Order: sequence, then C-alpha cells, then structure tokens
Amino acid sequence: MEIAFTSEQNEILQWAKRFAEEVVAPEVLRNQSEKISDSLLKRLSDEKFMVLLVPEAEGGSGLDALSFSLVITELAKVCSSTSITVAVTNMIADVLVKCATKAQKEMFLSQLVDGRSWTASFCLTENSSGSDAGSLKTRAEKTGNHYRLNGEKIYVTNGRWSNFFLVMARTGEAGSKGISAFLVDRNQKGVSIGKEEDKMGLTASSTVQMSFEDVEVAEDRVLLSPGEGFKVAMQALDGGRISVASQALGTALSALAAGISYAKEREQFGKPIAEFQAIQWKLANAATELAASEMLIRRAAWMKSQGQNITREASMAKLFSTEAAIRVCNEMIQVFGGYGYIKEYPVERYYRDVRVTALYEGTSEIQRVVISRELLK
Amino acid sequence: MEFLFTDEQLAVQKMAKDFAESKVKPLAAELDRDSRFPAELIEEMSALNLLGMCVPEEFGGAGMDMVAYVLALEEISKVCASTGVIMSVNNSLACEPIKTFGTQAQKEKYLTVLARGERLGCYALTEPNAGTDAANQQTRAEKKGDVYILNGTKQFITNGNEAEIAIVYASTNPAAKSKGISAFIVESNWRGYRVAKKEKKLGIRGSSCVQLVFDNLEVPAENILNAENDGYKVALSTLEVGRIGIAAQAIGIGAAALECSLSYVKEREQFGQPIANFQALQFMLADMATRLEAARVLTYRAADLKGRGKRTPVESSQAKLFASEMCMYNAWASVQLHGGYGYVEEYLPERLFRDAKICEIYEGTSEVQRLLIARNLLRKV
Repeated sequence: MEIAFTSEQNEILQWAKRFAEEVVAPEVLRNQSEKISDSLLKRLSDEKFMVLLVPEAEGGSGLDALSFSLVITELAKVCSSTSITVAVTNMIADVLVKCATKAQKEMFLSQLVDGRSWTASFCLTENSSGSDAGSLKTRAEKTGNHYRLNGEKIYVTNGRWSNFFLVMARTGEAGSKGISAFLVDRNQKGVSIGKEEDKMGLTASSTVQMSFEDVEVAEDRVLLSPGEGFKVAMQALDGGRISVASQALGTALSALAAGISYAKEREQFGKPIAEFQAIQWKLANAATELAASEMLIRRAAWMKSQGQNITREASMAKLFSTEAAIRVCNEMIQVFGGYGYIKEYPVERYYRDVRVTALYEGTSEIQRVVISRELLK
Repeated sequence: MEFLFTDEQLAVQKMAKDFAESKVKPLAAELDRDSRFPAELIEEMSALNLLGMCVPEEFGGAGMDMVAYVLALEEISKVCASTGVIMSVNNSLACEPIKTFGTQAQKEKYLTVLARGERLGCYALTEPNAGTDAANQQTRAEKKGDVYILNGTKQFITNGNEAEIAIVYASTNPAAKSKGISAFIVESNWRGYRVAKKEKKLGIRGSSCVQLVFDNLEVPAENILNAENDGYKVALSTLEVGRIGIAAQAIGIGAAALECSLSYVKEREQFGQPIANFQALQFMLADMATRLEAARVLTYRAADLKGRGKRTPVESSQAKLFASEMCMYNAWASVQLHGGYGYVEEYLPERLFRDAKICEIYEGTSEVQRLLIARNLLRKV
C-alpha cells in the first residue's frame, strides 16, 4: 500500500488542472446559459481528453483508471458539464476498446481518436425503463443480415454532438438476457435527435431524447454477441460509476474551497464567520466526507486498473461520494447565506450541478440494491 | 497510489485473526460481564509480538509497518473491543512516544520491555479538569537537583490498573501553558504513585480505566521525554498515532456489527420470509458496509502516511472522527436489525452498542477532531 501519487499521476493531475483552469474556466464564466462551445469540444478532442482510457497504440492517452478519475475530478472542479461530457465519451471509448472487433474500432473508435466525432453517447434509458434497465422496450428485429431498430430513448448525454451511439435494444426474450448492444450512426435513416432537455444543472451539457424508426443496422454492428448487451452495459456502468463519483467529488471540492474563503472574509458580529464553531463544523464535516470519498474512488479506480471485479467498490464509491457531495454543496450554500442563493456566487451552480450525480448511472437506491445484493450473496 | 497489501501485512492480519477467533473471542462476553482484565491474553499477545508492532526489532518490537498494525488491531477489536484498546494503548500511546522521542538509554530501558509486553504501559494526559483542554495541566513537576517532583491527579487512564510504565504529562512552567508542559516516563512502583479509583464504565469493561494520584512522586531527570517544556509536542505527535489506533478499533467494532447483522437477517423470518428480503433492511446493511469501507480507506491513508514518517494531523483526525461515528452508526443499526434481541445480553449487538460509544470520546472527542480539522482548513487556504 502506498497512498502517495506516483510522479506520473502527479503530472497527469497537473496537466488536467492546467487545462481546466486555463481553457475551461474562462468559458464557464462566459457562457453560463449556453452549451459547451464547439471550440472547447474541439480542443478537448485535440488534446485527447475524449480518449483518455484508450491505449496509446490505438491513438488514445493511455491512462489507467485511477489517472482517468483524477482528470474527471479536475475538470469537475471547474465545470461539471465539461466533466460529464468527457466522462461519457470516455466510457463509450473504453467499451469499444474492450468489446469491439477490429473493424468496429476502425469504424467508430477512430472517430473519437481523430476528432471526426467529438463525443459519443450511450442510449440505455427509456420513458418506462430507468432503474429497471432490463425492461427496456426498444426492439431490434433481425431480417437477413440486418437488424431493424425501433424505439425511443431519453436522457442521452452528448446527443447533440455525437456522430455515433451505443444503443441497447431487445433482440430476444424479456429481461436482461434478451438485450443486445448496437453501434448506430447519427446520419442513418430513421435516427432522429429530439428535444434537448431543460435541466436543473449541468446546463452546458447536452441531454436529448432520441427516436429510432425502422433503422437498419448491419449485424456486424452488434457489440460482442447478440444477447450480451446487458453485459456491455454493466461493464460500462462500473467504470461510469467511478466517473460520476469523481465528478461529484470535484464539484464538492470547489464548493468547499469557496466556502472556506468566504467564511474567512465574511464578517458578522464583529468577526469572520470562520471563527464560529457552527461554521467550522460544516467545513470539518465536508473535508472529512470528501477525504473518504476520494479514498473510496481512488481504491475502486485502482482495483479497476488491476482488472479486479469492482461491482461492490464502484457502487460504494458512487453512493458515498455523490451523497456526500450533495450534502457538502448544500452546506456551503448555508455558509454563504443569502449570497449562496444568487447566481453571482459559484455555490449556486455547484448545488444544481451536483444533484444529478445521485440519479444518473444508477440512483443511490440502485447502488444500495447492488451493495446489499453483494453482501447477502 | 497503490492499494495492494503486502504479503507481510496479509500474514499479520491472518495471524491476528486466528488468535482473535481462537483465544480472544471465547473470553469476550465474560470479560465484559465481569469487568475482568484479560491478563492471560497479554502473555499470548506478547508472544505473538502484538504489543510493540511498530517498534524496531532491536528494541524488542515486531518491526512492522503501521498498516499491518491497523489490520491486526481491527481483527482483535472485532471480537473484543476491550482487548483492542489494551493493545492500542500499549502500541500507540506507550511505545510510540518513546520510539519517536526517547533517548537511546530510555529506549533500551523502557521501550524494549513495553514492546515485548513484559510490562504494560499507560498514558497519563487527561486530568479531572483537563479533558479537551489538555493544555490546562494542573499536575506540577518541579525540578529539585536531578529529580522532578510530581504532584497531581490524572483521570480516565486506560490500562492504568495494570500498567507498570506510564507516560505522564505535567506542567514545568504553568505560565507558559502548552509551552510549559513536559513528558516523563514514570514507573508505577515508585513511591508517591497511586491508583486511586477504578471507574465502572458503560462499555470496554475488560480494560481498566483509573484515576492516578501523584503525591511528591520523584522522577529522575533522565526520564524526561524530549526536552523540558517540550512535552506538548510529544502529546500531539503521539495522539496522531493513537487516533489511528482508535480508528482501527472502531473499524473492528463496526465490522463485527455488520457481520452479525448479515447472518441474523438471513436466518430471522417474519411475514413468511427471511427479513433479508426487505429493502428497508437491505439499505441499512448497504449503508453500514459503505461507511465501514470509507472508514477503512481513511484509516489506511493515515496509517500509510504516518508509517512513512509524515505528520498526519488532519488525516489521523479524519480517520478517527469518521471511523468512530461509523462505528456508532453500525452498532446502532445492528441493534435495530436484531430488534428486541439486539437489546439483550445474549446477542452481540448489546455489547457492541455499549463498546462503540467510547470511540467518539477518547483520544479526542469528535468535537476536538472537528476543531482540529477546521483549524487546519482555515489556516491552509
């Protein structure tokens, strides 16, 4: 056991921190009500932020899972929207590295490597299939050497920018064993990008509805074998949960830093409010819970990089870190008092941005189900 | 960053687990019921090198790193929190300050016997009126020739009834407050050293907790630890290790609470099915396990850094604060999951619930940990 970062991990951390502060931060200040700009997406793509986990031999940055999580945290410290956009794209890239054939990689992964597609998207959730992902209704019926895809998806992150989508659809029996994973082009006939959701937070990221109407997908666009879609999805989510946890951590660390400096400046009753134990307690609780979050995340990420099963650890990291982050962002608004409620101060955005982390990539309730199932095995 | 345990750490963990299961567990309920100190276990722990785990071999210790110590202490505390604290005090509070601040002669004379477990140690900082405000020491040490004369009363001294060597804090310059405190190595058989009162406690009843009274106790000047008036530094540094020990103890209790609850919910049937099938209880178990793991990683972090010679004022406090509150939650949840059975002596949660509480109090209350963490945050940024 060695808790200190390696010099390589430190370098990656500094690289991400510099990028976040120099390139992402000015954009956040400028465009609070707009989507991430094309120029920032291009920059992220050019500097290989979208293929962090892809081996260097395949054109990526070749980071291990732990370094990857450090990058996500650094981005989220400055902009949660950027962080989730990068995280989801990397999740798809990672799935392709692990599950795609050589031809599939050439067709899709290469688009993320050379920037033809800035982002990628995952189409799993549907109107009536959220936590109960195994009940999804989008169908893919086989005719000859093609599948015909029909259905609707919601909450597709990055939808407005992605040139291709990883789509989960039913090819067989009811339940999770009848699901297959398809790679679908944006410009295929029958693919339509629907409404951009108007969200509480992460307002600069893209979240769309999509529909697939008689979309013809060649059978060589199936990832792994037919019926193995749920396996693909679960593998993606194990890593995705670490990303979301890392993102929540980053947002909350910035909230805490803002709370600390505000508490030292703001005077009431003739002294800085940092001198009141009521405020000190909030800061101490926040720092302790974030330290625990950080260690849970790093351990899960380290285990992933070692190829270990991380179902339990990834869920624990996500459950704990996102709930802690939400508490911290809430408490830091309390430290700011009325100013915390005003958009001029950063904690207002942190609070809105962080809330979703306990919802997507498995709600807190789903994490508890996963953890208790592992415990009671 | 690397989370793999070394072979040595795993071997120590297994050794401690085997010992805990075979020798400590069968005694635990009785030690609690009769408030009996497990003298027979001390000999065995000494033989297994569990009493001076991080002391170099040349001074009679096991020469282990601090993560190995944490793993072993968790295993012992998991079956008996009383035995856990006895071990923690000797390792963290008696051996560590002498290892870190002692002269060669002090190490040869005192550290060796403590680490081998030939004599047990205790740590006398707290006083009736100096708890959280530890710098407010009323015990006085006056220098006369080549001895110091100690007078005062120490409160809540764990292992105090059995300890033969005590690390004692006293004021050598009251006006200077924390900068006028000195630390001494004191032997219990010296004239003027008296165990005045044995406390009856809510939990950890197998360990002793006493009041010590010093009445013109003569301590040779060579027994001062670190320089005169430089004792508070010894106290703070020692507590950084001590808090890691208490965090490990809390993890042991918290792990026991989870383990007994997991087996109970699978057996207990209500409404025609095991209560493990109910989501309300599944979620409680998930929270227990998640908090337990969070406490573990925080404690490993502190232990790894401390073991590499770093100062860990924040890391130790965060580990101790979080682990002790996790421990209290897990103990509470284990009682709740056992229902009425959790309230009776025959089932483990009743003892765990009583034992758990002390972790939030000794070696700095939760409030002190928060104070220290906040102070550090506000200084840094």
